[in-house]
Amino acid sequence: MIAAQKGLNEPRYASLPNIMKAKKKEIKKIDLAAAGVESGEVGERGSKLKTKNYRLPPEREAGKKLEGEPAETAAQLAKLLREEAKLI
Amino acid sequence: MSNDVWIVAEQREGKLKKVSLELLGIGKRLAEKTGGSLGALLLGHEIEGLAAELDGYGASKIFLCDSEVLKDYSSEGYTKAIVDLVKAHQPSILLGGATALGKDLFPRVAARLGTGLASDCVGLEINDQGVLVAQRPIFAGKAMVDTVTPEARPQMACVRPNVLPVPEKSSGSSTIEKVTVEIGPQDVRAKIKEIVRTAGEKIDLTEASVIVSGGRGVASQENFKIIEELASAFGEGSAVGASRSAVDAGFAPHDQQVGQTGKVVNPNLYIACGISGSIQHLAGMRTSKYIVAINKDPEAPIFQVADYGIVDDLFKVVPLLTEEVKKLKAQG
Repeated sequence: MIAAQKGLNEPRYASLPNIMKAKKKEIKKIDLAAAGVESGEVGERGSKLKTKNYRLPPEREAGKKLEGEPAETAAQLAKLLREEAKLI
Repeated sequence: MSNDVWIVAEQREGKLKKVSLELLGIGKRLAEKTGGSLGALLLGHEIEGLAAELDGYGASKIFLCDSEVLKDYSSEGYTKAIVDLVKAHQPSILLGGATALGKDLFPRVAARLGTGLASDCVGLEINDQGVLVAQRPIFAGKAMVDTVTPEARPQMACVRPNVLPVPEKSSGSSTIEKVTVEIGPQDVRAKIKEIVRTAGEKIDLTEASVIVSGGRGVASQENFKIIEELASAFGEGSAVGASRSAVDAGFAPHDQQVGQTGKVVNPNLYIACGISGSIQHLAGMRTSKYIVAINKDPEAPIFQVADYGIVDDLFKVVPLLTEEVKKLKAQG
């Protein structure tokens, strides 16, 4: 089996005649039993994980807007990154 | 079934990933609640030195599994080794990193063990019933949810790198136990023939501590140079990212795309240059510790998540910022 990443190749799109032909093809439905799977093994009932307590993430606090000429804002930002964020 | 907590330490080419230490930190806290002990599982070949690096972070035991078959990572080999060891020792909780390797490995391990897996967690705790509660972002980070594994064991979770703190190193207190699994070359059907590195030893975006990203506002592939220069001013651990529109326009390669259909990153610092901040882009970087936005448009949504915002032309600000960062770096 191969799993591909986006950008591997040009996508191949179906041509109009082929789209028309595809409409006439039979779509086979297979139920779980025929696929050899028990209904308790799949879907929500089959999931070993239970989810609860849906909530919104904490809001990010409003940030600082730096103002001035590019030379000033760049210097301010570098200073903040060093002194406040301690990243430099 | 014990109350023990296990973490799977991650290494590549003899180098330990930082997420391993983050896992030890959270693992220790969980083990104190469950009343079990903390074990670290280290797999590879000729990696005894790494076991010593894990020492002193709260694990009572480091299980060292050495095999030539485990030298390079393979889904099949690593799955077999972990599954066999978990079956033999029966930990109650098994944690791993939500890294590229972890996302390949742990779903497979969970399926083999017949248990569930909480992927991409940002927080873990033990509830009053002694069950692991994993907090996960869902819907592209717009909401959070708690997941539990009520019955199946072990309870498995993958933790996002860079979210949890690296614990303080205390005095060495772990015993290293060598464990063996029955594994041979026949257990790995997909063979690695050769590992080819991309030029310049680029680090993976998901592991970078500083990311400088460019968007449509950067306007061309040549202009990405100023983005790259700012990133490299931050030194080791920095990487270049891009928004989807920049990738689609051919300014940057696809492996640099940050967002819902690209990579989900959470560095300590994310600098968005000429990126408006679509929902899809925010989904890939909103958990970064510090976000800086540089954009001409004061209404751009990126400013709503930014800690520091500069409304200005990125072509003026970014080169100056690069100089300032270099200056501060030089001061040490």
